[in-house]
Amino acid sequence: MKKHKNNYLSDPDNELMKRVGSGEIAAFKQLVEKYQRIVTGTIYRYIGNHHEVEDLAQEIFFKVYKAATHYTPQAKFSTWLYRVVANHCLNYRRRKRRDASLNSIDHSLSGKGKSSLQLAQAQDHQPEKLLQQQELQAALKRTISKLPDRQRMAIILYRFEGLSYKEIAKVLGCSLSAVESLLFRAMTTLKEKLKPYSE
Amino acid sequence: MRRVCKKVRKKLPAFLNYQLEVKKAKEVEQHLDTCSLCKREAEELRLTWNLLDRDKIDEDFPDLLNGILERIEREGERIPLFHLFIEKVT
Repeated sequence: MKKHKNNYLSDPDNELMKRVGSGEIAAFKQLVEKYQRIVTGTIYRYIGNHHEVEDLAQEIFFKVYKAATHYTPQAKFSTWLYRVVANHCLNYRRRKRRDASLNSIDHSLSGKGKSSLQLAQAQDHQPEKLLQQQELQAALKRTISKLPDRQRMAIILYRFEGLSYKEIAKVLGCSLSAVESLLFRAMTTLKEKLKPYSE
Repeated sequence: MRRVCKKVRKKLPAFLNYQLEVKKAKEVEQHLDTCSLCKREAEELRLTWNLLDRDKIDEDFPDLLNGILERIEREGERIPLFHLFIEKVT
């Protein structure tokens, strides 16, 4: 893997966190504005349900705010934040599964919810190419959503958030070879399930 | 599947995204030059990798920041009220 310098000591976002810890709301606002897209994007790809994204993002940033007073940088701020996001999402899914209320999530991801309604509307008004694009997007979401939790988080961080293997290992708290296995298995499953769309 | 093929295939996600060190990338390249099955696997993974580009997110959460600040206030953390007022009027 590529080697990255441990330059987190001079990370300006770690400085911002210190300022948040000493009560500067402007610094917190800056952090939220800078990172809200990656936080909501990661949650959305992982959970797949628009309605839950905002609540989860709020909970995560609330955790960040509360952690600021005792925050000690041990990595780049973004790596730490991704770790908070990943843990929160993984715990959320576990909790949901335990409550046996995953049906609503699966429904929204199964292509039978809003997206299929949009698809049906599109059939009346939009050209075939756009329909194919929507069908493909629904298939991508459905396939990613069915990956096992840690594989799904690893592929989201790698493919969509651009994290390195080393960063993913830090975020998920595992070894580089475990990341390699997670991504290999995720990519192999995606390749098999998405074959009809890549031909 | 041969052991060497298995080893190379595990490296393909990193190889396709230029994440491998030069030496390891060369080893993978050399193997792909001689193993048609792994080469096909790499090509299929490349197609899948590119396909994932089409997974676009078009979601916007304009009220997120205010929601967080309100939550902090609600749950009793320290934000002076005038800060919240400033957030809302700016």
